[in-house]
Amino acid sequence: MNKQYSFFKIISLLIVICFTGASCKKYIDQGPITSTYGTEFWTSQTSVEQATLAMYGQLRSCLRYTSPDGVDHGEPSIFINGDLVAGTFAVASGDVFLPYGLKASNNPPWNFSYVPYWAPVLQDWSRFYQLIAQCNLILQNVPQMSASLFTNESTRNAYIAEALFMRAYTYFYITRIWGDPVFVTKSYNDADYGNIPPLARTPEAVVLDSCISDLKKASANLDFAGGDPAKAIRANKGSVYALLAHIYAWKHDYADAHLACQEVINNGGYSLEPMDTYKNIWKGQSSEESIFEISMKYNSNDPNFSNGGNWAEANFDCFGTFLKGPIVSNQKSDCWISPKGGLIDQLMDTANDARYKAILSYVPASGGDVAGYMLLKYTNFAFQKPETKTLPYIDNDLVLFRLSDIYLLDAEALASTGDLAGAAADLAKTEDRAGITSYQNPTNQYDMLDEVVMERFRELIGEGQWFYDLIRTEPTQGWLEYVGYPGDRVNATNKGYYWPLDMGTLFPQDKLLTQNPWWATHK
Amino acid sequence: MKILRLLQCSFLLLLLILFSELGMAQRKISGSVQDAKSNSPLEGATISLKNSKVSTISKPGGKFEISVPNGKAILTVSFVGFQTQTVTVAESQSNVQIALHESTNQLNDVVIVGVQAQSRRKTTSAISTVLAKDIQYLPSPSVDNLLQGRVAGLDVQISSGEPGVTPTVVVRGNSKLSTNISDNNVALAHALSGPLYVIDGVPTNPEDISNIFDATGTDFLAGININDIASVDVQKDAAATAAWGSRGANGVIYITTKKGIAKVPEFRVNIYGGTTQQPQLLQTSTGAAEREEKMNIINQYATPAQLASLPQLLTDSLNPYFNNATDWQGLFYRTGAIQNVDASMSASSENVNYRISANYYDEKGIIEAFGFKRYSMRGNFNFKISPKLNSQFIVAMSKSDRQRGMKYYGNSDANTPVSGSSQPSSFYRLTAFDSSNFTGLYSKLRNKNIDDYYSASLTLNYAIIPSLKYTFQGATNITSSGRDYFQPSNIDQIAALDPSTVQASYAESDKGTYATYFMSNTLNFIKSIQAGKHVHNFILTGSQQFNADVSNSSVVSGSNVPSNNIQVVSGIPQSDKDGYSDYAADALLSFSGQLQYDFDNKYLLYGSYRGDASSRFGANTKWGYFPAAGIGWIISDEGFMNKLKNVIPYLKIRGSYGVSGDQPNDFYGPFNSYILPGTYNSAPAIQPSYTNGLTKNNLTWSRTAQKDVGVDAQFFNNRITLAVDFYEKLSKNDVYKFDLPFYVGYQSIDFNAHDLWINNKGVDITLGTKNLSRNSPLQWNMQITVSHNTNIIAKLPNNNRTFIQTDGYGIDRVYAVGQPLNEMFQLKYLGVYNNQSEIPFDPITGQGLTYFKGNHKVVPGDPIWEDVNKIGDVWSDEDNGAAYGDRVPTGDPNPQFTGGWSNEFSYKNFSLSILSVFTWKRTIVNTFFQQQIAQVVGGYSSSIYSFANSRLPDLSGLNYWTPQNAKSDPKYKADFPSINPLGPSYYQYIPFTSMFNQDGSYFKISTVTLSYQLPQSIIGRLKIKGIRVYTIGQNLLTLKNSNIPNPELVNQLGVYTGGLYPTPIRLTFGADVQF
Repeated sequence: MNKQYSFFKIISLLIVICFTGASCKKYIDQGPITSTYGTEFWTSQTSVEQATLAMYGQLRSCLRYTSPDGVDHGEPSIFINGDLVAGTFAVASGDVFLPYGLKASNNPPWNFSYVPYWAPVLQDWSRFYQLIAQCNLILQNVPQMSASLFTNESTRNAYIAEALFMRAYTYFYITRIWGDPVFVTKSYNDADYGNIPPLARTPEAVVLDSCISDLKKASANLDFAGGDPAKAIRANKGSVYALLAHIYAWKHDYADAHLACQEVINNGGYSLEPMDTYKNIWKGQSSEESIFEISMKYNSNDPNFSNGGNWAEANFDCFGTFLKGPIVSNQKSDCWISPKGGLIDQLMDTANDARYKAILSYVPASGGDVAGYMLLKYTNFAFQKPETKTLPYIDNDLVLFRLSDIYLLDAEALASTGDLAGAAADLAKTEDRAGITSYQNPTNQYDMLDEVVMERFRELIGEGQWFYDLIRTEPTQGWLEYVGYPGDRVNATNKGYYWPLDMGTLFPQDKLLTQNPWWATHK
Repeated sequence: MKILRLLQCSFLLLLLILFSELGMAQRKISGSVQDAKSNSPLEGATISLKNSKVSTISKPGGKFEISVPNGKAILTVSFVGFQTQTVTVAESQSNVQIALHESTNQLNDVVIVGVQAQSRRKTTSAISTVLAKDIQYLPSPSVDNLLQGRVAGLDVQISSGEPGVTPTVVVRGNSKLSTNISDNNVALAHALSGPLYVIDGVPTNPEDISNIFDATGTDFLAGININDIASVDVQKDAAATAAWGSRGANGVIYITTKKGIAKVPEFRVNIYGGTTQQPQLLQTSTGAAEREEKMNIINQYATPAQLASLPQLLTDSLNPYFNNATDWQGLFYRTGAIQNVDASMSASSENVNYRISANYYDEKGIIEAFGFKRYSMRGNFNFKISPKLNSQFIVAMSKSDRQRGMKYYGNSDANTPVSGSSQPSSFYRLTAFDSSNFTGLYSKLRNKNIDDYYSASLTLNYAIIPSLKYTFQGATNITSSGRDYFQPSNIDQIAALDPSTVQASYAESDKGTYATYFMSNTLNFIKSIQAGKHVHNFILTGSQQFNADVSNSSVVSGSNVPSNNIQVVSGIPQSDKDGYSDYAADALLSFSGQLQYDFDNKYLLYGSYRGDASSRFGANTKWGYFPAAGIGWIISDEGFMNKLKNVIPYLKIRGSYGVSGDQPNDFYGPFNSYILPGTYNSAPAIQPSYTNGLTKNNLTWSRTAQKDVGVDAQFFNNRITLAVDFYEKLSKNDVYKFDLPFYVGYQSIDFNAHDLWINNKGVDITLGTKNLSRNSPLQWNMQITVSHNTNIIAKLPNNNRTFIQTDGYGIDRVYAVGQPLNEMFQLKYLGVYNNQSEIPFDPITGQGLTYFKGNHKVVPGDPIWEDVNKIGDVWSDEDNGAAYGDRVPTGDPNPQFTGGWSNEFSYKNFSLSILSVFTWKRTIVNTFFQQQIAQVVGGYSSSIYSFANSRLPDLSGLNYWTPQNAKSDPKYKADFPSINPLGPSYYQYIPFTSMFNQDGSYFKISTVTLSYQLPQSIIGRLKIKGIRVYTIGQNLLTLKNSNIPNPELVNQLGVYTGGLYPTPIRLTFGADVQF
C-alpha cells in the first residue's frame, strides 16, 4: 500500500468536504421572500406610507375594538366611554352584562369596576399601546432613512409629524379614560424578553406637556387641509391645532386653548355644514366641517370585510349600536336609546331645534328597549349581498374633530376667561344653524359655561365626547352629579370618573402599575 | 438547482479519485458455511470482508468464494437467526470452514448511532428495536401506529381511528410547552414533542412538513409500506441522539428498509383483506321512550305552574312533526373494509443485490366518505463496483389518497355533520330536507387529499485503506400534497323552505411540495491495536452533512360557487375569492465526530461532538454544539464471572450524558416579519406582526441535557433478557411565546426562554422471557415493556410566574413550577349536597354558601365545590380580576405508565401472537357527557327548550339528585347533582370543575395474530417455497376505569369529545406466498 498515495486521497477528500461546507454556508443565511421584515422594510417612501396607513388603521381598530373573548358584545367602545356613561343613552337589553354596572340607577351607580366580560375592552388599555408602538416605530425609523428615498425633506417631515400627532392623540385618549398613562417613546427591539423592566405611570400633566411639545413640532411640518374633505382622514395642521385646543382645555389652560381654536377657525379653511345637508358630516369625506375623521367607508376590495375583525374598513356593529328595526332591515331588534324624559327632553328644545328632526327619531319601547330617541347620525346601512341579505354594514365615517366642536371649545375657553360676548358669538354659530337662540340667555359665566355644555350635548351627541366635557367642566359646573355620579367620587382627589384598570391582567405584566385612586378602595 | 449541481460535482470528483484505485492485487478465498448444531449447510449466509463492503452470499451447499486483497483477511459471516461470526484467514490459507451458532439474541446486530455503526453488544446507548417479523402483516396505514407497546420509553397514543391520521409519538416524556393550546385544529397537533425520523440514513422531520405545508394532514409515514420495513430502532438516550445533535432532543426513530438477501431470486406476494367494524352506538332513548324519560325528569323537579307551560315539543305528542323516533347516529356509520396486496422480488448475487416491491392498501372507513388508499413502490439496489467500492441506491414512490368526509384541516371531531354531543332530539322527523342535506352534503361533497411521495438516495462506500472508509450519501425526498375541497350549498334543497339559513358553497384547491435535500460525507476509521495481552479497539467517525428543505405551495379558495355542479374554484365573485402562494426554505450545515473505544472488548468508552448551523436562527447564534459521552462495562466478560456464565451470560452496565438540540418550527424565526393587516381608505397598510414582530438576532437552539444509566442483561442461557434504563432529561431554552408587558405594544414574541426548564424523569424496562424449554415443541416467548415518566416544569420565565391557559374545550391548564405540563386547573368537585344540613354556612352571619360570586345560593341537589379560599363563595373569579379564585390543580393528562405485553406462541407450523398495550395513571376529561348534559341543563344557554329539543344523554345508572328522593330518605346519597331542566343555570355543568375528570387508564388487547405455515408436503407439490396464512384481529378489547367507550380516543391534552373518529375493530385474513 502506497502510504503517500492514500495520504493524497485523504487530502483530496478533505478538500471536497471543505468545498461543500463552504458553499453550503450561504444557504444558512437566507431570509423570507414571503413577507417583508425590519431591515428590508424601511427602505422606501412607499413603505413609510404603508406604515403610516397602518397607524390610522390601528386607531380605527382601537376605537371600535372587538374583545378577544369571542363573545359578540357589539363592542362600541368609543361610545361607551364618551356617551353611555354620561347618561345620554340607555343600554339595550342585548348588550351582554353591561346593564350590570353602567346605570345611574344602580347601587352603586355607574359601577365601572363591575363590567363582566367587558374588562378587555373597558379596563385594559393594551390595544392603545400597540398603536403607540407603531408611532414609535415610525418615529424611530423614518429619521434614520436616507434623504434620497423621499420626494423631498418636507415629505419626510410630514410623515414624522403625522406620527407625532397620532402618538399625542393616543396618549390624550388614554389620559381621558384612565388618567396617568405608562409613558413609552421607544421601541423594544432585541431586548431580553423575559426580563423587561417594569414601568410606573407618568403623571398626566407631564405626558400632556410632552404631547403639546410634539404637536408644536408637528404643526410646523403639516399644512391646513380645510376645504378638501378627502384630506380629513389623515392628520393635518387643522387636526393638530384641534388636538392642541382639546389638550389645553383639558388642562384648563383656556388662554392657549382659545389661541389653538382660533388657528383652526381662522386659518383652517373649514366651514360649517348647512342644516339641509347636516348628515353629510358623518357620510365620510364629504363635509367641509370635518377636521379629522377615521375612514370607515365600505370598500369592495377590503380583504377583511367578509370575515370582520378589527381591520375591516366598514362594519355593522360599531354604528349599529344606535340602530334597530326597519332602518337596518331588522338585523337588530334592540339598540341604545336616549330614554324618553331623559337628557334629550331636558336639554333640547325638541320643538325648534332642527337637529331633533335631522338626527333623532322617537321609537316606542320594544325588543327590551325603553321608549326614547334613536340616533340617526350613522344610518348609511347596506348589505354587501342584498340578494341574500347577508354581510350588512354601515357606511359612515367616525368624525373625531369638526369645526362645531372647535367653535364650542372656543366658547368654553372664552367663557372661562370671562369673555361672555365672545362665547355667545361662538355658540351662535352652531345654535343659529340649528334654529335655536338659547345662547342669548346666559348672563353670567356659570350659566354661559352651562350653555356650552348643553350645546355640546345637543351638537355632539353620539360622537363620543360629552362625558369628557363633563369631566373637564366638573370643577365649576358639576354636571357629573347631575347625571348620577356621587360627588365624593368625582372630586379632584378621587377622580372616580376615570375607569379602573384591569389589574388582574395588567399588574402581572408591570409590577409598578398602580390602580386609579377611587378604584383602589372601591371594588 | 444549486444543491443538485453540488451533488454532481462532489460525485464526479469522487469518481476521479476512486477509479485510479481499481486493479489492486487480489486473491480468492473459498469455503463453506454450516449450522454448528446440525452440521447442515447454510445457503444464503452473507460473507463479507471486514472493514470493506466486499461481500458474497453462500450458495447451495453453503459454498462461497470471495475476493480479498492479498494478506491476512478478516471475514464476517452472518445469517438470519444465527450469531454473526468473525473469522481470520491467514495469508497462506485459501479455504475455510465456518460453523455458525444459532442466535438467541440480537447482541451482535449492528445499530446505527448517528452515522456510526456500532455493535449492540458494545454500544453505550439506549436503543430498542422492532423487527419486521413483529409488524409485517399488521393492517395499518403507517408504521408509527404499530410501535405502540413494543418499545419501552416510547409512548404512542392512537387518538383517532381515522385512517391515515398521525398518532402522537413521544419519546421519554413531553418536553414541549405549547403556548397556544386553545386552537383545537392547529395547536393540538403540536402540543407534544415528536421525534426525528431517520429513514435509511436520511433525517426527516414530519413535523416540519406538516407545519410548513400540510394540505392533507395525512401521516407522513403513511407513505411507507409496512412490509418494506426491515427494522425500526428507537434511540432514546443522549449517547444515541446527540449524534443527531440539532434535532435529536426528542428522540430518534431510525427506520431501515429491506434489502435483497436470498441468493436465488425470491418472489413474495402477501395478500390480506378484511373488515373494520362499526362501533357500538351510544345508548340513547328515542321516540316515546325519550318523551317518557324527559317527562319523568321534569315531573321530579317541576312545580305545577311550570308543568302547565312546557314546550310544545314535549306536550304535543300527536303532532307528526314531533312524534318520531329518529336515532341520528345511525345515519353516518357503516362497516368498513381493508384490502392489501404486497408483491416483492429480491435476489442477491456477488455484484448486485436488489429488492423491488409494490403495495396497494385500501381501507374503507367506518364513517361514510372516509377512507385511505395507498399505492407504493420501492427498490433497494446494492452494487459492488470493485472490491473497494460499492454503492446503494434506494428509490421509493407512493401515492396516498385519503377520503375525509366533510372534514377540514387537522384532527378535529367534525367527522359527522351532527357532532356527538349536540344531536337533536329523536322527536324531530328526519325530513326530506334533512336527509338531502346530510346525504346531499356527502354525495356532492368533494374532498380529495392526495399525497405523492418520492424519494431517492444514493450511497457510495469506498475503502481508502482497509481501516479507513469513506461514505458519501446524497438523497432527495419530495412530498407533494394536494387537496381539493368542495362543500355544496344547501340552497337547492332549502331555498324554497327557508331562505334565511342558506349556507354558501365553498371550494378550495391547495397544492404544495416539500422537498428535502440531504448530503453527507463521512470518514470511518476502525483500528484494533494489540498491546501485549490487551486489545484496544477504536472506531472513529467524522462526518459533514448538509440538509436543505424547500417548500412551495399555493392555495385558492372561494365561496358562492355559482352552481353545485361546479366543484372547483371557478366563476366565484371577486369579493369571495382568496388566493395566495407561499415559499419557505431552510438549510442546516453540520459537522460531527464520533469515537468509540473499548479496552479488551469489556471497558467501553464513547464520545461524540457535533456542531450545527441552522438558517432558522439569528445572525449571531446559528451554531449550536452538542457533546455526548458514554461509558460501559461488560461485567459478564470479566474472569470472576466465568462461574456464572450459564446464569448470567451477558451483563452490561452503561451510562451516558449528552446534550442534543431542537430548532423551532418557524423557518424564519429571527426575522420580524411584517404583515398586511388590511387597508385604510382602500390603500394597503403594512405593520409588524404584533404577535411576533421584533427582531431576534440572538434566537438560538434549545437544548436538552440527558443522563441515562442502564443495564442490559441476559440470564439462564438467554432465556431471560432484561434492559433497564433510568433517565433524567432536562430541556431548556425552548422557543416560547412570551407575553410582553402591555407598554411594549407587542403582545407576544417567540423567543428562547432561558428560564423555561422542563424535566422528564423516568425508567424504561424491557423484559423478555422464553417461558418454555428450548426443546419443547411448544414455544412461548413473552416481552413486557414498561415506561414510567414523571413530567415536571422546573423553571418558568418571568421569575417563575405561574400562568393559566384555557384549552379549546374550556378546561383551564396551570403552568407552575413543580407541576406537570398541561395540568388541569379547576374547581374541585366533591359530590352532592344531599340536604340542607350538609350545606356550610358562616357561623357569624348565618349566610349560607354561595357560588358564582354570590349569584347562586347553594341549595340541596347542588354539586359540592371545594371552597379553597374559605370566603363562603366558590368561583373561578375569572371575571373579577382575581387570578385563581377557588381553582386548584386537578389532574395530569400525561400518562405516568405506558407499556405493552406481548406473547408469542408457536407450535409446529402454528404461531399465535397477542399484543396488549396499557396506559396507567392519566387524567382525562369527558367533555362529551359534559356537553350533552350542559346542552339540556346547567350550561351556557340551556333552558327547558334546549332540554326538549336535544337528545338526552345516557342517564341509565346515574343516581342523580331529585327532591322526592331527598324528602323520602333522610340518609339519601346521590351520586350526581340535580339535573333540573327548570332550575337555575350557574354554569354548573361547564368543565371548569373537576366533575367530568376521569381516570384515563386502559388496557387494550391491540393485536392478535394467528398464522399457519403450510407444511412442505403440500407446498412442495405446488412448487412454491412457502405459504403462510394468517388472521389478525385488532382493537379487540379495551379494559378501563372510566365510562368512556375508549379512553385512548382523547386528544393530546386528554380531552374526550366523543366526536373523534372511533377506533374500529379490524379483522383481516391473509396469505403470504413465497415463490
